[in-house]
Amino acid sequence: MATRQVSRLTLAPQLRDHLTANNLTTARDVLFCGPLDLMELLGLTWQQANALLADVSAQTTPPFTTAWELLTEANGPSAAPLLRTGLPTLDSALRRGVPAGSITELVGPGGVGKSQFCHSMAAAVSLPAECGGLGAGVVYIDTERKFSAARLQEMLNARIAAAQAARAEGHRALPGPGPIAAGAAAQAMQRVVVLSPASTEELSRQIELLPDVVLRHHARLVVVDSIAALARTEYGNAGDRDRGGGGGASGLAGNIMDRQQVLGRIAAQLKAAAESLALPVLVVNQVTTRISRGPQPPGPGAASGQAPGPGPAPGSGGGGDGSLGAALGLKWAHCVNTRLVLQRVGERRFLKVAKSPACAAVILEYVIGPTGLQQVDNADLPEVLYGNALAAPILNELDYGANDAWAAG
Amino acid sequence: MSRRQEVVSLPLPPHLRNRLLEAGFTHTGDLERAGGALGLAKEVGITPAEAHDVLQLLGLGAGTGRGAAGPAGPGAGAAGWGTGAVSAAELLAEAEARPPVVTLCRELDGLLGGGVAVGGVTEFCGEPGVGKTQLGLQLSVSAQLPAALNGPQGQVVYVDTEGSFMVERCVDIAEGAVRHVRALAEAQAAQGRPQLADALRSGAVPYDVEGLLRGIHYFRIHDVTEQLALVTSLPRFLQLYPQVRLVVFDSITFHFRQDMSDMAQRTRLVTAMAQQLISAAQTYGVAVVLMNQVTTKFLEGGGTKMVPALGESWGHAASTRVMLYWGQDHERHAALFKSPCLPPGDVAYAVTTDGIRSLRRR
Repeated sequence: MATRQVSRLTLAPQLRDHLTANNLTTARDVLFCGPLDLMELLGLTWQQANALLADVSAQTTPPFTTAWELLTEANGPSAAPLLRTGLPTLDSALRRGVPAGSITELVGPGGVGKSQFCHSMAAAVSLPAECGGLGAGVVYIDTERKFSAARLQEMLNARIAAAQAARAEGHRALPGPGPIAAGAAAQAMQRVVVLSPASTEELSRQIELLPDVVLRHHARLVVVDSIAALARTEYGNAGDRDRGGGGGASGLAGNIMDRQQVLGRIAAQLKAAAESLALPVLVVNQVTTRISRGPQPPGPGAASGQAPGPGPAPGSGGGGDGSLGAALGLKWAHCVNTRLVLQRVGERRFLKVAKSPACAAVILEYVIGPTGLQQVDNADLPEVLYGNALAAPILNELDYGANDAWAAG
Repeated sequence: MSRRQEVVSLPLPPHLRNRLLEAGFTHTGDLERAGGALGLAKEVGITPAEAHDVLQLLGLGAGTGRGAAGPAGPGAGAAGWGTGAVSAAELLAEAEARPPVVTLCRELDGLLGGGVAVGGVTEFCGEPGVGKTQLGLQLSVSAQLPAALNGPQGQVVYVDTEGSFMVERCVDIAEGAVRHVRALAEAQAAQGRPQLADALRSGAVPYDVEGLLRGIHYFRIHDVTEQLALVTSLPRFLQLYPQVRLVVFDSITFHFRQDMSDMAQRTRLVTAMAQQLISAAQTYGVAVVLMNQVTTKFLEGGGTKMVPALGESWGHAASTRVMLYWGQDHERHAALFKSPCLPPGDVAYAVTTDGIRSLRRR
């Protein structure tokens, strides 16, 4: 709507020509002018200028609906098929599966199962309906070269075997009708498109082209594994150099601002693509360890005391325990609609919904099995899960800059 | 306003301004003595319609002079620049007549002086995941509380810029509110005041999930242009739907942070937008609630702190500003840090299945 041409708006012809003659060619150009600008530029009176703005606005405002209509639509027959994670607790918490049209983020330390989760979602989408899948394409953007076709095939085969076993038992409830075709796994493999950008530039370009790729392959899922890797390596090194030169915090800060710019652009493109195609987008993010020392963590804790009101303390982990936070900072965090946190406590693994417009925080335990992530029903959850920093604020990587501990380490 | 304002400073299109100046009209007083629209037109050599527009600006031909934001076109009666002035007593009476929008968290309502004020702009800032969207949904439901419970009993405009409006979640909160209202009605009936319970049962006071969802007008905004367009058309919408008592923007910030690189332009646009929202809130007696993101600010000498996004000049947009944050006790907190009439304060609140509620201390 933003690029809507003035020539296609319903306006008086002279006025339209007048606007284009003055280089106001899109609705955006007109609305970015105040009434006074329009008066100067076009020689209109105050009333005319306001009438013009109101007119253009009325034609640019998107149509509205009521919440009731949204609900009827979501439960209607034309609603898009839901993408289930296969983890019952998570599915019931998210209600409509992995949300379509917005970004869902997976955060967790290395080796906890983020990529496994992505692989299993890819399998769930690419499998045909007979095996409980969506029979649709997947775009897998693999920045860390972690995508494993063998693992995907293993998951597909395990799922097909499970579906066949269920059918043999006369389990009518689960999979859809029709026999399972022989080459189901091979076909599913064909539906998964893997892109491996080598730099943020390339990533950015690929995300720009994402809508085309998605439409060409009839994709119902986009996976980015991971968003942080490229940005952190490319921009992180420069930060090291600056720090070595004694420029300390300011060099690092400037660098992170650069990175925020790039990331902001990528995030906005990703989000726009998700929205316009009503696609679920799954993004993997890394965690950073906050190293605090001494009884009173310096920097963030003290600084936030000056914030308006009682400052929102970024770190609630406190102490010297090296609490965890999601990488990439606040601006990115604001782009994320749903945040899932994967965490390991001892030998056990847990998945937690840290942010979702759909539900309050829920926790479940899982193991990594042949079909992907599998839920383990276990009522006794370790206490540590409730008090962890990841539960509460979404930390900012910039805390590093404020901590001398980092420089020393 | 001075009767001696200079013609140069009037908001006029350049060609008209130049004609007036050429004809020797330098001050507004000259225009007033020009003999009405026809006299002015003849003397300056402009059309009577143009002359009429000029005089309207001075309030001589009547009218509001705030075309876009004004509720109606030219009204009757001539008045000066001071039209629209009301006494403080009238304002007080007006404010008391309009019940605020409650959050259903007793402490948070107390902090806000009874709830989110109708007729003003209230801003909530906070980190991702602290409950801004949940609060927006809760307010959308409680703005429809029946007048019998001293609720605004109005409709809602919900502007979703981030795609985080989740209708199933809205159903939860609506169900919670319906249960709450029924329980209140039963309690009243038990005390010998069955009016509300009867009204709910007979449907005279409609308060059910379907009605609540139908009362929420939902706009999905995809970019800055659409947002500006919506804010500009808001007065028109509020004229069409006079029932609306609450407008929620979740969030006001998102597109301005993603979509714009020219900071000067952004400041100008958000300031203009703020003006339009304040004016709409006052003119149509609606509560305008703005959700804002937070950003990291670098402090001199290293260190960072979290501040509301959109910069310093945006700070004037909302008359009441509340920061939502995670406290050291791992609970959600709300801190009031700007208000024309309330003392600053800090309370804890909880997000439950039923919506925003008081925190139950363990």
